[in-house]
Amino acid sequence: MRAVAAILDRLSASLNAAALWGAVAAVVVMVLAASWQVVARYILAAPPIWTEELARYAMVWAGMLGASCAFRAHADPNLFPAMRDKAGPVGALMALARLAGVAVFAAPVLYYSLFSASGDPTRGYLARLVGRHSETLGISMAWFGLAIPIAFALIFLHLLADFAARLSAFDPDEQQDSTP
Amino acid sequence: MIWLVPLAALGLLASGLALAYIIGASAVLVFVATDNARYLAILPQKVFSQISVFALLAMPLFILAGEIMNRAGVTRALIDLSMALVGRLRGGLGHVNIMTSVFFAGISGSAVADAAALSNTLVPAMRERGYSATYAGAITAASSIIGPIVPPSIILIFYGALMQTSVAALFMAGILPGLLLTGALFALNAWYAWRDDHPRLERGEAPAFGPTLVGALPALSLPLIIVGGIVFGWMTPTEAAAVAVVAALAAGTFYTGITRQGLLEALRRTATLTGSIFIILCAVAALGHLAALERIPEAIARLVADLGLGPIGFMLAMNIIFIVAGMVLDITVALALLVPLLAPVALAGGADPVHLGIVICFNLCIGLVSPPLGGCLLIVSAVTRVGYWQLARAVIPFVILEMVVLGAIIVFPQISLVLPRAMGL
Amino acid sequence: QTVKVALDSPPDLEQSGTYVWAHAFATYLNENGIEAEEFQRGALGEEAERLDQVSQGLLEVSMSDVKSAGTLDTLIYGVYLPYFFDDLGEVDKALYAGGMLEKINAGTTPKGVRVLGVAHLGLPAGIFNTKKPVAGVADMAGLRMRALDEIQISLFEAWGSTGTIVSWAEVPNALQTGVADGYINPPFVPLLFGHTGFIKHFTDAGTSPSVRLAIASEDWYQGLSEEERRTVDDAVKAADKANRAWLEKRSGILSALEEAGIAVTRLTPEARAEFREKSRAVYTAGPVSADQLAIWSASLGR
Ligand code: NA
Ligand code: NA
Repeated sequence: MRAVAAILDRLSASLNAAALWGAVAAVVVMVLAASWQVVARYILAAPPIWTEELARYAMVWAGMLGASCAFRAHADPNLFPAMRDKAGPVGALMALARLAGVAVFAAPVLYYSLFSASGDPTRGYLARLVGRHSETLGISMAWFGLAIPIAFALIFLHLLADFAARLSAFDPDEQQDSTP
Repeated sequence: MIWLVPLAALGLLASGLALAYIIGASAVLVFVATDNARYLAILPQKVFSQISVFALLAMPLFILAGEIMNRAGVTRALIDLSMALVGRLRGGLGHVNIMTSVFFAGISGSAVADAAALSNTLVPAMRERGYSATYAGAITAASSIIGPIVPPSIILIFYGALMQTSVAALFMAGILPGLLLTGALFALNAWYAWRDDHPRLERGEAPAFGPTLVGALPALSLPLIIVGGIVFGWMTPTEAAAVAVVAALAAGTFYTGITRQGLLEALRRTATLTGSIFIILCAVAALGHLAALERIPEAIARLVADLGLGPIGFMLAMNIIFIVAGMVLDITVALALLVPLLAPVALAGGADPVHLGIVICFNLCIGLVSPPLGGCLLIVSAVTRVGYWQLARAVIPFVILEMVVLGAIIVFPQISLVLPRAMGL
Repeated sequence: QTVKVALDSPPDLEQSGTYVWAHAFATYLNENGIEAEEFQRGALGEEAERLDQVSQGLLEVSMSDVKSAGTLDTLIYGVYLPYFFDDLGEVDKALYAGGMLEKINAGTTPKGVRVLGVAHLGLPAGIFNTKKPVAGVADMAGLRMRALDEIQISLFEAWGSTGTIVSWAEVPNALQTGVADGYINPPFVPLLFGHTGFIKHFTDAGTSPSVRLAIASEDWYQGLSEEERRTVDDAVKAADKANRAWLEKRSGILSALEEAGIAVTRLTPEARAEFREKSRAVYTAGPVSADQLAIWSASLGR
């Protein structure tokens, strides 16, 4: 159990670090695109038409990756954050409830990113986006829509890692291991 | 079946799950319970559409501007100026907290950014001087809402976009109500200072006015650039939010400046803060779609319209709906769901769209500091580590005062309209 | 199952051509044994969301912009070619007699979306601005026009002015403060959106038709019985008819503009010819390819 928890934790930590860098990059793109719009209007004869779209879609990536980082850092608004620190059977029950809650929200988002309403894998959300092109950048919308399932998958992974770590703390073998 | 959903939500709440995920899970359960499960297939696109809105762009940008101000010494300069101006009064640091929010408001469009900034800097200083952490947190939260009322303002940008109303006019209209609110908060803080014998800054502690003012000039020029840029047509409100980021960086060079590490930290905080807000937006959007399928907003609008109230009566009724919405919903979501339904009825009854915008904005701001789900309360509680419910109790007198100010703004539209009218907007 | 019809404008039978279409469509269905329900603008989401719901069969009918269907297949953009159609009657001629609707659907139905019909929003688009009367191409110099997309940017350049992209939400602010000086839109727009306070001039330039599409879910359409499908097709005909009849009565809109304080300039045939001449340069500058342009020309027998 402990080995699984350790692997999950490492995976969650390294993907989180990558997501945080991605989010930071997306915020920078947002700032540059939106300020360039002002500069270009007065300096260039033909202002670029793609800045608005680029800023908006960078915001989607920044926000979704940021959401996964906020989840891992426990930075989301929470009325009873102290319940996370509860140990023992009550704590385990609470952890299970949190796992179920996130799963109920994330599962349909992930499922319908890959499958259509009628269960068709060739017409899932991402597949539908591949055929649509953004108005001014002219690239496939899938590059932007991808942010949604990736963020939800990351969130679920962080939660699993957290849960596994908690379970391994209950592992009777490990309790013995840690006895001096 | 459907009655199980509130029970499940309460269970999740007690388990310490973050609000966004409780709302999201409840929304999914309601889809299933109302036999609308096949519509869950809209979720990925719904989430994407909810957060790829141009008017939302101002939010992360203003948050980033605030984060940079805090780390580059700009906020410090504003606090110093406030100390020189009002620090020597009884309850000095409480006044400083309010005054700094006014200066901060001229640059930032976000109450959350203001609340986070002063929770980090002023609350520790207030505690050192013998204020209770709870009072320091409460006044920080209560005065943070000056941010989106005084221009620039994320809420007004969003309202302007929804209602096709001039943002420049809305911005001008926010100034006097913001100052009125400021005056009221000063008065309440003075009363508390007298009752609880709060300290004042001693002669040597308050910085000298002249040098402080000169030192604060670069910081004070930011509001002129940002608000002026919008009013005089150099940039659109959303672009102004990006310019605010650049301007905060530039102003920072007059102070401590920002280190590479500090800038990275500011970007990271912006991304995570934006993320926590976006995930709430996503969850509420799912619920909102279900409400639309079941025609719930129309039912509410009809109900209110059928009450046969006059213009003022309707505005008051609408305020009750918005205050309740502001307590439980995110601001942008409350705006997107309710403004298109209720505003036309108010306008048909003779309300001015600019006045209405200020009233709605003020109103949603009160929601930010009202329990059960005040966004600013949550932030202040998280940063200062004062218990949420303890903070919520302490803020109630401030909330009541703010409702009284809102009442005055509703009854006297001139408070909002005199400035934009004078400028011909 | 109830047919959901998602509206894209306020339910105003006087001012809104797309509502006239949608309402006539829903009414015909309800009177002929198919239950249909109108959903207010925005209730079921913005354009991209409604398109996505239609393509999955979760929304039956949506009044949508040309752009959303354009993301599936660019042929439809031909309706926006400036000065391509001599009059609005030619739009219907190309779509129905010329077979363009079928050709458009050949591109969109594999992606789950069927274009049922086209609703006119009003008289063709003209040039609005806050600065000066525009009586010919030469007057466009010095105006910074709000552009919607790449095509409009090239169009303004071809006319000797400049374009700047401003999101529709920020247009009132941009016009009031001078970020932009004007826009191309059908005559009703400043009246409906309350822009009459700052728009000062309108040129009835007859640039391009202003239309919206009624799109339907192909899954839903194919799942109908033959009799039901006939009813739906007849509802489309009834809706088209109601929309075109409404359009006939729209000539009064120019005097409504004048009453609202907007000076109206009418183009001389020579001035119009010059606009048309300059505009041809941009026909394939946008998303419409040379092949697609040829298809549109053929549909009008040119
Ligand atoms: Na502000
Ligand atoms: Na404050």
